[in-house]
This record gives sequence, C-alpha cells and structure tokens, in this order.
Amino acid sequence: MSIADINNAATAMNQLKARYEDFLDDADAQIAARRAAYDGLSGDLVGLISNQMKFTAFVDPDDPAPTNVDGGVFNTIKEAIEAAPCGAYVTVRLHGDKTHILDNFVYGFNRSVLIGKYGGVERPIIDVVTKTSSSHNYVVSFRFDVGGALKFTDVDIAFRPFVDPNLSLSSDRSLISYHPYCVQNAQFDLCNVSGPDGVSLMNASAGCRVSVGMVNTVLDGPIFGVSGASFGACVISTHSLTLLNGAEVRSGGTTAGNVLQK
Amino acid sequence: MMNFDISHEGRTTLSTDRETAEALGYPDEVIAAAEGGVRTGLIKAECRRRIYAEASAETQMNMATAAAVISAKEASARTEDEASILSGLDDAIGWVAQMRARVIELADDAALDIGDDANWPPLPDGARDVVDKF
Repeated sequence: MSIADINNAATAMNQLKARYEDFLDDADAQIAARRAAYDGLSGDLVGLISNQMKFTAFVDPDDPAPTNVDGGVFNTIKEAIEAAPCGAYVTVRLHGDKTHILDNFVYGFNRSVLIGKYGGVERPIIDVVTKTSSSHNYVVSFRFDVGGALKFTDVDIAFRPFVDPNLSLSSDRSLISYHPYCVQNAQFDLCNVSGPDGVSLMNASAGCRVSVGMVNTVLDGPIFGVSGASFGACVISTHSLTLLNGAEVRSGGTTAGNVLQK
Repeated sequence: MMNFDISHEGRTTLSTDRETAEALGYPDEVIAAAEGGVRTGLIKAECRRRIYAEASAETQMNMATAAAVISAKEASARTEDEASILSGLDDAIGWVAQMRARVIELADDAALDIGDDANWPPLPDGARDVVDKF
C-alpha cells in the first residue's frame, strides 16, 4: 500500500465520519422537533380532540378548486360530511342561490350534522335524486345507520319526480333512511319541502324509531313528514308546520299526543 | 303564548301562534276562530277536571247504580235515606248541567279566568252529601 492509498483511505474515512456526524445532528434535530410537536399535542389533548371533532365545510357546487379540508370548500354535501371524522359535530353550509344535487347515499356514521346556508339571497335547494331498481323507484338519502343526528335549517328540499312512473315506490322513500339500530334523529327548521307522491323526510318502517321536529317548515305536495309510521315508533314535534296540496305529517300510525308522561 | 292549529283554503298550519299565523297570511277572523277553539278546549278540559275532582268515575258509577235501584221502588216504599239520595242526585245532575252551561259562557268571554273558582258554580250541599256516601 502506497502513501497515496493511505491518504485516500484517510480522506474517505474523514468524509464518512463527517457524514455520520451530520446524520446524527440531523436525527437529533428531527427528534427534538418531533418531541416538541408531541409535547404541544399532549399538552392540550382536550383541545386537540375538540378541534378535530368540530368540522366545518362550505359547499359550493361551482367552485373549480375545492380544498376538501376542514374549514374549506367542497363541491358536494356527501364529500363534506364524509370528510369529517366519525362521531364529529359537522357544520355544512350550502351556498345560497344554488342547487345542491344529492345523487349518492350519504353515510353518517354517528356524526351530528347541521346543514345550513351561507352566501347568496335565496335558500339553497337540496335536489334529491330518485332512481330505479329493477322493480321500484327509490330515493337517494342520508344513511345514519349507527347513530348521529341531522338538522336542516334555512334550506329547501326538492325530491325529483320518479324516474319510472310505472314502478311502485320502494321503502327507501325518505330523505333520511330508516334503520333499526338506533333512533333516527332529525330536525327541519325553515325548510320548504316538495316531492312526488309518497316520499317523506323520515321513515319508521321495519320497527324503526324516529324522532323528528318540523319547525317553521312547509310540506308541499302529496308527501309526508314521516312515512311508515304504523310500522315503528315515532316522536313527532311540530311548531308552525304548514301542510299544502295534500301533504300530511305522517302516513299511518295512531297518535298518542305529543307528550308521554308517567 | 297560545298555540293552535289553523286551516284556511286548503292550507293547514300546525302548532302555530298568532304572530306566525299573521306572517303566513291567515285572515284575522280565521286566526280568531282558531284561538277561540283552543280556549273552548281548555274550558271543557277544566270543566271535566272540576267534575271529576268532586266525584270520581267510580263514585259516579256507584251513584248511578244506587239511583237505578232506588228509582225501581215505588216512591212510597223508599226510606228517608233513599229519598235523600235521589234528591242529592238531582242536585248533582243539575250542577253538571250548570257546569256545562258555564263552559259556553266562559268561552264567549275571554276576559274570564277559567282557573278562578268564582267563575264556576259551586257544588250544592245536597249533591256533596250524596257524593260523600259513595
């Protein structure tokens, strides 16, 4: 081995040592930064969780570049709700003067959702799509199978006409689907609702339990607040609920008054 | 604030109040009639409550049964106590008729307080005596 070889080896070793020390310095810096971030999170876990569980979305179907994040803009109600953590309190603001098409089932998964209005002058309209199976017409809906709640305020709801008038209407006929796991909770405040014969806001079919409030709301047309009322149990609360053109509070069922008291 | 259901020209609004009904465009006379209907319902319920407070359903049944048994006897065959019972029953039936008549009077005058005892006819002593027996 020549002197030159020894010098080259020493140089290589020094470079390796320097690189190794840089690596350690970088690793220490990363550890410190991440430890500080962790300390920041763990120092306010309640605030952290609270922040994560409050989700706000603004829905504008015409926004060309939706951010799709908490506090940002989404194009559809479905995207906005389903982007929130399960169990979160979700505020969804629909852009006024615009029609928001509901053309796919929205899954709630224990979220509590307030759907209201922002911007514009006129109320936003939720345009509820109807579809067909091989044998029935059915309604696209909110599915809050395992809990949660929905409040609609200052929005209008318009069910589309049936796709095939020759088919009968499925039990999937309500804006909020029926499901036996738990009480289906909703309130409608300052909403004008219209639709074809037999559709409803909620549904007590198959032994389901429904709790619904309808306040300062108009049901217009041959529709119901609650369908399938004779097949389940319902708590229905009304204040200034206006019925027009054949609308009814419920289909079937027997009322026991609005208070049950022992 | 009084809540009522109101209907006019094919439109129905449930559980509303005067201010909202006016905002919704219901004519004043229709609102007044709806409010009157609520007051009449409340007065009827108060009348019923007062009658049953004096004589329960069981007491009224026992009184009616006794009246039937006693009335089946010739008047000359009735004891003094039985005659007293029939007299008290007449007082009780008369009182119920007065109560019902009062419902109409109270409904016509919204200024009268339906919770005030002074606005209802008192139970006659003869009726109270016979109620106490049953």
